[in-house]
Amino acid sequence: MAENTVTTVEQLVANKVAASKEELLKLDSPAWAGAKEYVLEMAATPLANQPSPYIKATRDEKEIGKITKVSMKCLHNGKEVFFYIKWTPKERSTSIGDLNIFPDAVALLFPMKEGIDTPIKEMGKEDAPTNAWYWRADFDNKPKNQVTQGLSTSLYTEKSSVFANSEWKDNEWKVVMGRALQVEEDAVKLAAGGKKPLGIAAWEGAAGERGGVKAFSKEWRDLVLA
Amino acid sequence: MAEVEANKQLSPEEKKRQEELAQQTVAIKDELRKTKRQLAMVLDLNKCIGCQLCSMACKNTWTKKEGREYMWWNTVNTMPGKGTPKDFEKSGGGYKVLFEGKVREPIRGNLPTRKEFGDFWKFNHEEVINSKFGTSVLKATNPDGTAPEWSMNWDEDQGAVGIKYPNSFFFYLPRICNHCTYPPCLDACPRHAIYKREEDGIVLIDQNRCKGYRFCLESCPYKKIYFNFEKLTSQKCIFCYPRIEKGVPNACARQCTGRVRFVDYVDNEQGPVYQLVKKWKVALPLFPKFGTEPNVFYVPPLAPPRLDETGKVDLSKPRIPLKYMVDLFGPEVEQSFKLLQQEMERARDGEKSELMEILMAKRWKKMFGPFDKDPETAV
Amino acid sequence: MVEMRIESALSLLFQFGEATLDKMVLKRKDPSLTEEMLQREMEREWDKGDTAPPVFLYYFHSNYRDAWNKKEWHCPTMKRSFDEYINEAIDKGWWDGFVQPARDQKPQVYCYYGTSPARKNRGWWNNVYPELWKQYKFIFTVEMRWSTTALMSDMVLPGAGFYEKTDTRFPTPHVPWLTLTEAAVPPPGEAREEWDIWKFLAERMVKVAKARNCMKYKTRRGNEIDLTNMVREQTLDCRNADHVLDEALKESVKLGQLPDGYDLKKFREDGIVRFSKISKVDVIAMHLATDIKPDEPIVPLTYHTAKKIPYPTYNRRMTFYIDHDWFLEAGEGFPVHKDNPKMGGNYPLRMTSGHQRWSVHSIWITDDVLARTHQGRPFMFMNPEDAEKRGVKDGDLVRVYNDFDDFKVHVKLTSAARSQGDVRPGQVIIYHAWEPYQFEKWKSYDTAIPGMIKWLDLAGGYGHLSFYRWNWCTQPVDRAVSVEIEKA
Repeated sequence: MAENTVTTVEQLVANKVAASKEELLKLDSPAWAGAKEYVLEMAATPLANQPSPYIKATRDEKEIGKITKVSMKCLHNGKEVFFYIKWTPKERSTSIGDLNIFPDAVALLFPMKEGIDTPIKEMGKEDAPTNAWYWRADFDNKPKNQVTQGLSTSLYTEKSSVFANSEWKDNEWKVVMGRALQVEEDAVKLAAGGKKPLGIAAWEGAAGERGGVKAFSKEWRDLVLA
Repeated sequence: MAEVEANKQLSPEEKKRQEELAQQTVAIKDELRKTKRQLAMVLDLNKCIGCQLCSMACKNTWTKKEGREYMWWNTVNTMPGKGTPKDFEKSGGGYKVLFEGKVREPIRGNLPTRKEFGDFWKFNHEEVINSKFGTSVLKATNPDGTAPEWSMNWDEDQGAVGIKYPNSFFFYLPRICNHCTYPPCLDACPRHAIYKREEDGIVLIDQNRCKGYRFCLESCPYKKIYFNFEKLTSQKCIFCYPRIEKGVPNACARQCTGRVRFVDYVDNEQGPVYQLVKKWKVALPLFPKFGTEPNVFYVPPLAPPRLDETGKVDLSKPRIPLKYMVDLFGPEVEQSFKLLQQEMERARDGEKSELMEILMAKRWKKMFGPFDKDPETAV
Repeated sequence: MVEMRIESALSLLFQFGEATLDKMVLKRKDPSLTEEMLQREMEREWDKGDTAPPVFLYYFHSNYRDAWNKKEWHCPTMKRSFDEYINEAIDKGWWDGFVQPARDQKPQVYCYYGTSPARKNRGWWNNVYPELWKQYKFIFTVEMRWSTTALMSDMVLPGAGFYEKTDTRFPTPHVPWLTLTEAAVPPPGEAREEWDIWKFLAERMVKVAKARNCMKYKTRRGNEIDLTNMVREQTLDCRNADHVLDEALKESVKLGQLPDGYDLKKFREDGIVRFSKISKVDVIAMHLATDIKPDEPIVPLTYHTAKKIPYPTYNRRMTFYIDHDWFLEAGEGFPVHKDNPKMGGNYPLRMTSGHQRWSVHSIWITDDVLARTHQGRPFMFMNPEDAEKRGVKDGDLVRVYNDFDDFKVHVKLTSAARSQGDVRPGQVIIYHAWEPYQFEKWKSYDTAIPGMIKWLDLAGGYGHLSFYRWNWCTQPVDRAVSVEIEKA
């Protein structure tokens, strides 16, 4: 673990840096060197909440959520916010190569409304939608922007302003995902100097994880845009 | 069990919420499953000649483009055989039915591979046509460059293994989505994308809701769902609903040269489906043991008699072992055979047999209940 | 083509009157000839010069001769050499008028149509390719797909496929209805309806003949050919294929085969029409020898069974006993069982074949979509016990061979194929129609079939045992060929 790693993560701080989008998208950019690295512990999504009698009956919660932790750095440059996510799956899976193959994926989740209780375990609810930025290994670094109002309601918006860069190296995924603070599409509104709850989910494709069968951060954490 | 452990750490509110969610899911699934009427198909296996006209009709109507090229919503396999996808019978899925059908416990299924379905082969026509004669051979190749090892009807006409000539047997089994009364795919979909149409019970996958997770394919014991690698959604037989809506029967049924397929609402007492399924009870679902209550039914295949060592007809046991038929169509198959034989005898003796008349289907359009329109003129 | 035949028959009929025409034939034949017999005799006369059984082409000009002369591949009841029989048949005049091309004639141009000889001529690689094929100066066809033979031809004129032209199925009351098959799409690329192609060829022939100043010439048989009216004769003054069909339908009405007032317009409305009568001019239909009744199945031969009109046989009865010298010599005076001759040599397996179900003959055999329903390649069925003895497993590539030739194919094991017993040969089954270019070196299963013909088929001068088209003539045998199999 690097010197600047923090494991107690109630709060993640995205400091402001004077770096361009291009620089911050680079996985080995020196711009990231000074950023704090947070380690987020993950857990299986609760089986009881699965909106599928089949999944509930045929899965064991102990076998869900293969990715037990991810590490994350956050930065912003006044215009755009960036998340540098790393995790180590047992095996890499990059595409839907066959009917029985699922790609690795990671997603960030934000509640879209202020001052209303938004359940993370249900990805929001009616009147309390969530916004996910969904990177998948087969999406060609074009993450989807997704809005959800409770389990099994997620829908991609037509447009997604989320951008990404990624690399598989030393048995580890490195993904930088970012977005302009202000975007046109239906999505979470971010602003420098503000604070937003943040959740994260990850899928280990090789273990057949997809949809609700995944690992997630259990609780909202605070993202501070310094 | 893992669920129980997890529950221990839950607050009373959380527990309550979980129960609420569980009830909600059950209610949603019940709603998606609810129908007012049910369309069904009956296939008379005694008439199927395995010509694949149904498969071609379906292919040309629905699966020629946009990532559906490798799919066969309609298949015809030789039985006994491994079928499509290969060994699908052993791939799990479906339900364990308990308490006389009051409880259906989902069974985990496997996901097949594209090659087990039979992949979208490419052929080197150009090479053959443009090279010196005798040098290049027309060959199929999988998209990944390998040689094909399985396909929709790879074991065509091979039939029963371990049986000596001349007592061999085989028959053809055409299959489409069963549009089950309890579709496991519907239960499996965490997106609630799969539903039965209220007006006719056709099972559809909402292409806007589907995210291609393939839990449906996993759970379907008949493995009659395909994944579209271009659209990233799951797709399957739609019972030709755009035709049905115009009063036109399914392409596979209308194009069948053997007059194998009957189409109608199950509750239409005057129609052929009701007569064969409910009244005469000669048409049976495939693999009732899977617990999904299919709405595609089969008139089981009779066979020529066995021959003994000396070549004489031996009527002491059937050529197709009853056990095998029971495995396929359930214990009711015995009664179905009895009725079929009895009615055939009657017809042979010059008596009128209502059942035989339905099965002979002299009046082609009568096979389709109210769906007797011509696709060219139907509006 | 059938329409044209009807047309020419009709013009003769109208020209001379039915009675006159009958008399022409009756002069030479006895007055007890029935209409059916009469029509057959006329057909035979018309065919002379236009039509020939292929046996003489192959015997005089190809290597079939070598296969047919292998006495050990014939039934042991063949007492003399094949050469002796065929020469006797020719010398006795049984085939007069049909022995062509003549022995001393060199075939020069080969036009095949509606067939693929490189696939269909049994043992083509040994029997036709080495001599006859190379001898042709020009080989051409009208085809709608790249058949193996088309690929080996000098010129292929692209013809319209089934769904690209208006046509009928089937112009004979053996099927009670005549069905219209309409063009669904226009012919692609340079493809044209056959009618257009043949008309175009006729026009070009006249043009070339004019330029070379040889509009008139004499055939070997001494017939004077005048090309002046060739296009008219070929087109019957019709504008296009639709026009021909319309005329043909109207002529069929005149002959009583179709209901009054029938024409293409009405046919297009109905799509299908039931034949109403058997025409006197169509000998093929006449052999049904029955009246067609509306809404009743067509039961053949009632003229003979109910009306007691004599059969067109040697003794004018249903004939079981044939006292032709050759038949008596072969012990076939009465129908009799004989074991399969060992065609191809003395081997323990018999190769038989039949139609598959998913293509119409060979037309769609290489269609990608259909090929994906099965193994996408040719296969041969074999009994598992026979396979085990030879170390062959399901899906193996095997070499199938005999003394004639060999080919390679994948096997599928099934107990539906008869196993080899102490005395009975085992059976291997292959669907025919596979395209030769689906096999290594383009050697299809036909490669190992010597294409034997039975000497008795050359018999003649005996009532109904006398050549005319589609009836009495030699047939290459393509079933029960002796083979052995080994793992390739």
